[in-house]
Amino acid sequence: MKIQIDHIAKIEGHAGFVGHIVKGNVTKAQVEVEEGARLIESLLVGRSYEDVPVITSRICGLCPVIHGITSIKALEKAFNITPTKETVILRELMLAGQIIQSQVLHIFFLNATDYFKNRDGLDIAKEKPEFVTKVLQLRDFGNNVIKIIGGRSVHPLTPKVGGWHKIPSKDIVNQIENEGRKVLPYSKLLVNFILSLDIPDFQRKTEYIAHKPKEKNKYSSYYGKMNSSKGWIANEEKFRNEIKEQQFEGTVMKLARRNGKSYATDALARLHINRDNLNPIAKKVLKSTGLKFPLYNPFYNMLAQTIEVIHYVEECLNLSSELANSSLKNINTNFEIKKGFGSALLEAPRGTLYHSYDIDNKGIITQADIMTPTAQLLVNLNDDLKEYLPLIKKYNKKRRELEILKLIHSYDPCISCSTH
Amino acid sequence: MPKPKTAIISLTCCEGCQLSILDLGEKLLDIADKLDLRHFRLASGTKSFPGPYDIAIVEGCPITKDNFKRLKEIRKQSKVLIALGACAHLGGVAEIKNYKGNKEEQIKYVYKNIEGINNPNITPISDVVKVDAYVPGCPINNEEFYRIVMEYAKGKTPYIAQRPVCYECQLRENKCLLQEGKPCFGPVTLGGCDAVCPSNGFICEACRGPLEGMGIEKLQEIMKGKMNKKDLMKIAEIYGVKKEFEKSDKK
Repeated sequence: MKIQIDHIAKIEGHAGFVGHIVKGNVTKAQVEVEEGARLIESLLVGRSYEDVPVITSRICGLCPVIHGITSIKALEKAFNITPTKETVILRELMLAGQIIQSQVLHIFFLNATDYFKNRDGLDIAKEKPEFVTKVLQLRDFGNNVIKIIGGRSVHPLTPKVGGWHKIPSKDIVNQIENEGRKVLPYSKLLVNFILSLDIPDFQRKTEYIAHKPKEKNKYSSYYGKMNSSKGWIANEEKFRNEIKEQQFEGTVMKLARRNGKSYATDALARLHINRDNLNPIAKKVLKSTGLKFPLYNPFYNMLAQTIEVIHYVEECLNLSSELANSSLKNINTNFEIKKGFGSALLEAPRGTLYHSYDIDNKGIITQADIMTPTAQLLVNLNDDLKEYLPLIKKYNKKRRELEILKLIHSYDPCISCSTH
Repeated sequence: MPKPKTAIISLTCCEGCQLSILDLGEKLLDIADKLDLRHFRLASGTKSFPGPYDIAIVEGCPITKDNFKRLKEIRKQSKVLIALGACAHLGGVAEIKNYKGNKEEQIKYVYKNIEGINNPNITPISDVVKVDAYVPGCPINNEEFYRIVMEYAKGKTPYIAQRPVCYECQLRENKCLLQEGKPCFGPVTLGGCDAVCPSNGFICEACRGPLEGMGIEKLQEIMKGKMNKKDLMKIAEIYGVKKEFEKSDKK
């Protein structure tokens, strides 16, 4: 039996699915990327370090913030720059805003809609206008945090190596405080909404890997190391050396594995590694769901994302209050251009993102290397698909396709990122 | 009057322009009210409508064989075709590849196995099909998008005023980055973006393409020769505008 889905809707970028079942055995089950290769890493070589965040943010319109800031973090390391405390907080705020907007879009529009027969987000908006308005306001909050700091939400403008092209005004502290307090209750609505869905009962053991903050009591932060559910701990260098990417003829995607095996790197992975350090409301809500860890059910990534949305709204309030006593003046760092190498890891909405650069003494890029979350999560997704397919082959074609899409959507793959 | 059948199609790109449309919020519901929106992959997945279309909105540039095929099919099926964003309009960041030269070497830099991976020169979609209108920018200004599609919905043919980015920059009372000696492309770039970059301390890098008849030599003249043509052209490579500026310079 051959199962083929040509153009998967409701994901970022273009991909299809191919599965083969021969005499009851799954011989193939994988997401096939149909995206063009823009060769972003090659485009960076030979250009000024200043162009890097501009170009890398264009890898993805859904997560431009993380690409821009991860490249800046790597470049600053190469130049031996320590950004000011305020700069780091502002960057963390932008990253929090990014995770809120991306997760809400995914949870509601791209994934949960799979659980409603023949209805999309715009239809549900007509049926439950009050609920959907609140969901959209929640997403707008995330976008707004990015916008008031970065100048706009898609491809923000102000962040640069050493600090800011334009330092945000002090007004942002009150604005984030007011808007964040307003949407915090809305963030909890999504949890009940997701729990009301009939989430498939499917489990497959895997390794969970996520960035764990240097600070002991934090769920997410600018500085930290990779931690795995199998006890593996890695800094940037070790991470890049031990996570191996593979690419085959005729395909534009690279697939990443650790010790030859797939692993999870999404919101669910972050909860597995660091749920004890969620902000108080997120932690309480997670406890109230009664979920037991390890969970091993990839369909629950959507629920993990809703918990993160609560956490990151709380985090925006925490971070903005940390700025309350700063004038936000003179927060840029002076530096000298010099030859060097820098690498950085940060958590994107879909998992861990790695960037590294070599720079010459004139500030020109001589080497660029980017590994995206989707290059990592696709391998885990394919392994899940292989085990899930035999369980759903009894269904008719339409239902079978829907179940496959549910699983693919639960990972929220970003195909533009995976290809770049 | 029946609502115009409208499709939003993505070729290879970051999809930031499509996301900017989604970010319109309530105004998007307004658009959905006036236009019969089809093929909006990020918003509605379960439904797929075949053409023909009254309006096709295309973002991204063609890279895969399938991209080229799709683009030509869409053109055949559509009355009006709108290029959305810098990738469709100018080539976008992917076009840096053309200026670097040696495509083969570049693809080998990224992939070990290059067999079967499409690696064409990057072109604006107007090199492949006839384009009726543009919504420029990287990303688009979604307010401008709203105005343009709503005018089409009313049966009008919208246009973008030929004013430089400086026009809006001055209205916003920004400090002039050119006067600070920075290579800002505002004077030679088509406005309509609300001067969002210079308003955030970032030089204009011409993502909306040249103002009619404007080239790099004009910018050099305005900068009183403070920067050489080669360095300015390097900036113009970022959004794939270098070739357009070269054309203007020749005239």
